[in-house]
Amino acid sequence: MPAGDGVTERQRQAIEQIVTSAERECGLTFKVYVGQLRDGRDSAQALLAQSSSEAERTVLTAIDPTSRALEIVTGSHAATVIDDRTCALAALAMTSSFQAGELVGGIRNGINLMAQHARLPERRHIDTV
Amino acid sequence: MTSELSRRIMSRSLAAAGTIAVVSIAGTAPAFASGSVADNNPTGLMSPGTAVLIFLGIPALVAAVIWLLAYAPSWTRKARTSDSDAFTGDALVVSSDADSGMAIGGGDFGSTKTPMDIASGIDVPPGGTSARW
Repeated sequence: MPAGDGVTERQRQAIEQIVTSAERECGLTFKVYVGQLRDGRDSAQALLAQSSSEAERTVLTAIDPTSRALEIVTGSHAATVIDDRTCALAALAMTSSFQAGELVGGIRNGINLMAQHARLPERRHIDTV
Repeated sequence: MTSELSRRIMSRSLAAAGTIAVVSIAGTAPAFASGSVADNNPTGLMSPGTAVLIFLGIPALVAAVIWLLAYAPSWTRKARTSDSDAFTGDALVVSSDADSGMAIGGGDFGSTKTPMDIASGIDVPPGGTSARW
């Protein structure tokens, strides 16, 4: 069975466009994984670690449609611009769409939301005057 | 393709015509009554048959029409499929980083290495969240 079977070519292209658009918007690397997550969050973290060089700047969205599980994992740098609260909001948006059977729509909503909220943390006490 | 379309149009037309006919008959039936209940039964008491027809027949007819309206579309249309439920294939990984181990169409995740093996010695990503639906 070829890789990616279960997601149509059109859906795959749509997800690619979403990822590219989000990366262009905020400068982080977005990755989407759709498939089995045998060990839940550990699997998602391991999957992010596989992307070695860019791992710290990567936001991985891992979706397991079979067990209806979603994991969003952010690298160390990505976590400074996309906090856990934003991830939770994106997860809520995505799962809402997944419940309605909209896989690509959910991915679009969640990733767009994270890209739009990506910002550097507010700096305080930097005035040298 | 054309025959399937025409067949679908035909079946939808028949379903619509049937529904309209049932609703029309149900709505206009009282107008065809030959006489009132009082004419047939001067005592003013309703006969058992009439009572059954009124108190059971009409609700049953209304329920039947509602059931028909609710289920008729499913006879002519295919059920909606859910993207997430329909997923039965191998893993799909979409990324713009083709050089990474997660290139498009990757899916070598089900290798002999366990996630903890892969993650050992690498900083655990600090952020994110989990959710289910």
